[in-house]
Amino acid sequence: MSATPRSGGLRVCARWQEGELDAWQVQLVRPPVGRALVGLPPELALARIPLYYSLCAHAQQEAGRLALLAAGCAHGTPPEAWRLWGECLHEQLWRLLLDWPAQWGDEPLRAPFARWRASLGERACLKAATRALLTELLPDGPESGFVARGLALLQAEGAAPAVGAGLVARARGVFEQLAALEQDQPYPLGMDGSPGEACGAAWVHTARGALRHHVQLAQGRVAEWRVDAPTDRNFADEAGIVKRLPVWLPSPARARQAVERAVLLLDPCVPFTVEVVNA
Amino acid sequence: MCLAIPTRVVELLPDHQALVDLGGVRKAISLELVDGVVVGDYVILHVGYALTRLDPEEARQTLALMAEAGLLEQALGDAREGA
Repeated sequence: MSATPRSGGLRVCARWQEGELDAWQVQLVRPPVGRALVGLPPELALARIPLYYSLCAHAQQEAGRLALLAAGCAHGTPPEAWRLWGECLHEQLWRLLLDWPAQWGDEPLRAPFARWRASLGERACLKAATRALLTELLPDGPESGFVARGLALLQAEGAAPAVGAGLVARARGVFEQLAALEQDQPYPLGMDGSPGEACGAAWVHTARGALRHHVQLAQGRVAEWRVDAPTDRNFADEAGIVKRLPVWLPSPARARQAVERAVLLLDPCVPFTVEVVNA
Repeated sequence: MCLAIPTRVVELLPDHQALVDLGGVRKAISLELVDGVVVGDYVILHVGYALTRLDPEEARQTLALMAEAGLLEQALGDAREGA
């Protein structure tokens, strides 16, 4: 069996027997960034967060900034909301355009995604590019264009209803985030803490759910910093995957495909591998 | 999220591919999502794609910080084990 990289990765294994899966192993490894921040002055820890994460750097830093603020320690400035909406759209579009088409045998939509990514640095460009992308690829809404093709092919092969529903939900999410971006909506986030005890917590919305940071300071330095990402919760065990599987898995190959799709629906923020062994 | 390790581009390949070097281990990646990458640049990777281009000085500083924090050794160990 393949090992899970310590720099970040997810490995899902199960045993196929008479149409069902058992003997699950779900192994998630994320880099120990929180531990690496312990002992640093808070402002230095905050500056390092976006350097350490390959995805959602704005959301990570904002969650950290708010957690520190809740602990009574004000550093840094909040990012403009459009940058957070752009980051959220990036994650949604990555899955939708690069990963999902392969599930019905099509090539990833790399070229339109690459063109869209070039707009991420400026608010007006981001709005225009996102609107243009959706007009090109989903001209009549979330269930049109390449998503309509995917839904038809997935239905024809008998994929679990959760698969089509998850695909549509992701496409709808992109339209909702574009609306939020166009209307300059405030970005969803929150914080809570006890400045007297130098501890604080904060959450920031991301494409995968709430990203949470918990901070404890002592003598002007970071004593504890915990990062709780949606991927940690979604892959704490196999429950979320099992819930998204069809009732009957006729072969190990079909079971592997179904597990892979269930993992995609739960959307880990790290690379993943799926292994199904035949009992 | 994975660790954002700056990784050096050592060779450009056809079809928007490149070879990168991570702690002595070379692997092919896609440059389709990032423009203007040349040999010697550093990139941040995610699932086989270059996500961001960094200049060498910025990359060296980030690598030094990661090494100081003890994050780099683990990741490079993984790359070597997986080679």
